[in-house]
Amino acid sequence: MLLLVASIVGTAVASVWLRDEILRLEYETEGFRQTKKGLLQDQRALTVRIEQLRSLERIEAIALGELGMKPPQPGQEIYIAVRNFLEEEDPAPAGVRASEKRPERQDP
Amino acid sequence: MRTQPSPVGLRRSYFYGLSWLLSLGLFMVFSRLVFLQVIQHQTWLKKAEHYQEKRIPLHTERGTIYDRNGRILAMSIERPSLYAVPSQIKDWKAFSRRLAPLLGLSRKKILHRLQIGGREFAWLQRKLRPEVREAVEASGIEAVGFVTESLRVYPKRSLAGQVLGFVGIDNEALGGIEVRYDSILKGRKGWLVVQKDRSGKPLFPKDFKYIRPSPGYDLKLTLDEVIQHISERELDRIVQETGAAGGTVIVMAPDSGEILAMAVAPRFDPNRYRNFSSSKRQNRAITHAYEPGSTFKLVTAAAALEENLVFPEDLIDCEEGLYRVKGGAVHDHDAIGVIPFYQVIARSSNIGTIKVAEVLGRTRLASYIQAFGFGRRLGIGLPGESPGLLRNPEAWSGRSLASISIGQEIGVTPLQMVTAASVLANGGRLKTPRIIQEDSGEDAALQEQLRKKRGPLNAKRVISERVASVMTQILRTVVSEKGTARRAAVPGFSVAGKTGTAQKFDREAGRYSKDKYVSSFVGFVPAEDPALTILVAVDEPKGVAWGGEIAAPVFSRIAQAVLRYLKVPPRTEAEPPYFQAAESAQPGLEALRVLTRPSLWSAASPLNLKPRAEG
Repeated sequence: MLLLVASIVGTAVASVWLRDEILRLEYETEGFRQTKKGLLQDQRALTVRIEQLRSLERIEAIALGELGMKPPQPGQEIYIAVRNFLEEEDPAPAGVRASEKRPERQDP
Repeated sequence: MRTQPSPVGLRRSYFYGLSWLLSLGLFMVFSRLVFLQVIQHQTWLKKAEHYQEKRIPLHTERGTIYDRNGRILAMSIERPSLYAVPSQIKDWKAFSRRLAPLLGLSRKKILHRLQIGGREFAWLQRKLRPEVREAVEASGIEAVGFVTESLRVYPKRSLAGQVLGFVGIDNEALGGIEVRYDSILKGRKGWLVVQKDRSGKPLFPKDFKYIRPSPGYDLKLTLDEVIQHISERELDRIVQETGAAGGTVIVMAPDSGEILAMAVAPRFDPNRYRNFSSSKRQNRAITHAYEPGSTFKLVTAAAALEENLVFPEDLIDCEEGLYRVKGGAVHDHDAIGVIPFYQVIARSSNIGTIKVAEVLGRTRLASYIQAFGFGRRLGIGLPGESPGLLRNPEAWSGRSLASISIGQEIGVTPLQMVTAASVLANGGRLKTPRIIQEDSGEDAALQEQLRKKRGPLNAKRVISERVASVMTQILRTVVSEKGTARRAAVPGFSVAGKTGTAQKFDREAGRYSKDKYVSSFVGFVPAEDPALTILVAVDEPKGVAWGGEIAAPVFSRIAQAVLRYLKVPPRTEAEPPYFQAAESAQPGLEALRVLTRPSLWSAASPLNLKPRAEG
């Protein structure tokens, strides 16, 4: 009889503990969800900041104003013809169309 | 005499009465129970859920807009918005005094916002910086709260501002690509239905309801951030130097119809859209029709060449600068005598062009104008695209043929003009201009939606490859030493193009203005294998207004910088144009009227002979 009562009480206590633990984990999950959301938002805000700092208008103003740089003048750029050994039979055209080849990024 | 009821009978009556009453009461209670539990079951269940459940909206971010190289042009972030509960504020003046320095607002403005709000809710300031929220929370001001809202940010500020458009305070798309592709960008809001505890905190039972949000699609444009920057920089420079009212630059890849840059001055910063008038928010490159003036002569010339009505070396009498047409006289800027047709274009003679148009006739000219893309929307997929102004040939006046052939009495958009020039650069085919890269994603549904937003893509042949090549050679003479656009030359590259200096029509005076012009230049480079078609139009420059003086140098500077950026190597020895721009024919030479030539050429053509005019 005592054993039966003890097992009933034990089951009840375990059930209450389990319920409490589930509740605690639910709160914890919600906390993590909020943290993740906040971090993702921080990441987006930082991405925007990076893009703002990479604005060409800003970079150009610094290059010309603070650093005293100048755009290259005619004669300061020298194009070197490179022999294409791999495509000897079918040399690349001299002029490359914008749509045919995506240009590598380069400051203006 | 009445008999008294017996006490037993009386008790029995009471008993029956009470029983009936109790039965009725029980019946009513039972009926009510059935009514609540069975008939109104769903209603009460919903009410209970309402009190126990919490609906959490799952906002989805608006899609990001990228340039062709993946640089961000527009994206969304979350920001806190501050509201107040006016009924809970005891002292409005003290409240506004404490809050004003934190928000950077005047006390008067805060009081005004409290007044215009309701008793329970009034916006104080929306989409704040996170540090302002921290400051307000630290101050401990009561009766305020925050909600999170989405803020659209344009990190490159005014770069391509008119093209991108903007999003309002309630995240409603209000212009440009934002509004045209709103259904694609905005996505669909989702919901999370959870249980809540006494304090309102959400709990997640096993069977919580979840309606998945559909995020907005990202868009990739054909614009190139660097080319857009170069175009805007050079356009701003010329507008500032000449005190012009505004201007437009479009850079197009002629072989694909992709728009690489679309710059409009004055600029518009979508982050601060409230500070700009609606006219400054407009993308005038597509919404605004202007009279193109002499740049339009390339259409007349190409049509006449295609119809074999004139050949480049045909001599045309330009009447020493004065020619009478129906409704008045036409003048040239110089007194030009007898010159070959290619020089008519190189020197931009109105009279020579009109004479060619007279041979062409209104029906044929109108059909070529339409074939070059004028008088209709090109279907670029941007809102507010204007079809321009082109009257039906039946409605043309006696002077219309002459006027339209030299770019008057017709309204074209800058986009139409650059597309028409690209026909010549593209071997005679008209490519539909595009500003969205549809192949950027693999999602078939997205691609289908994008296709619906723009007109059909086509590459219709307008003129033959031969005529396109001849026109290219003629337009190269425009940029030669003797042409009107010497200053459009790009060192190391051959340039083909046409200048325009169009008087603006003064609606109030009902005639062409004497001091308001649109100076323009449209051309492509390298002429022999075009990588770029560029249009420059400067609106109302002060002082000198010649297209060759104002717009041509801008073309040159943009072309130099963009070709360098695209790593297009210069030709060490650019071939001179096939036609050499020479001086006028010898004095005393009797001009061959162009009207006499078609029969000669049409007779010679089948025989594969090329007649030569001498003496």
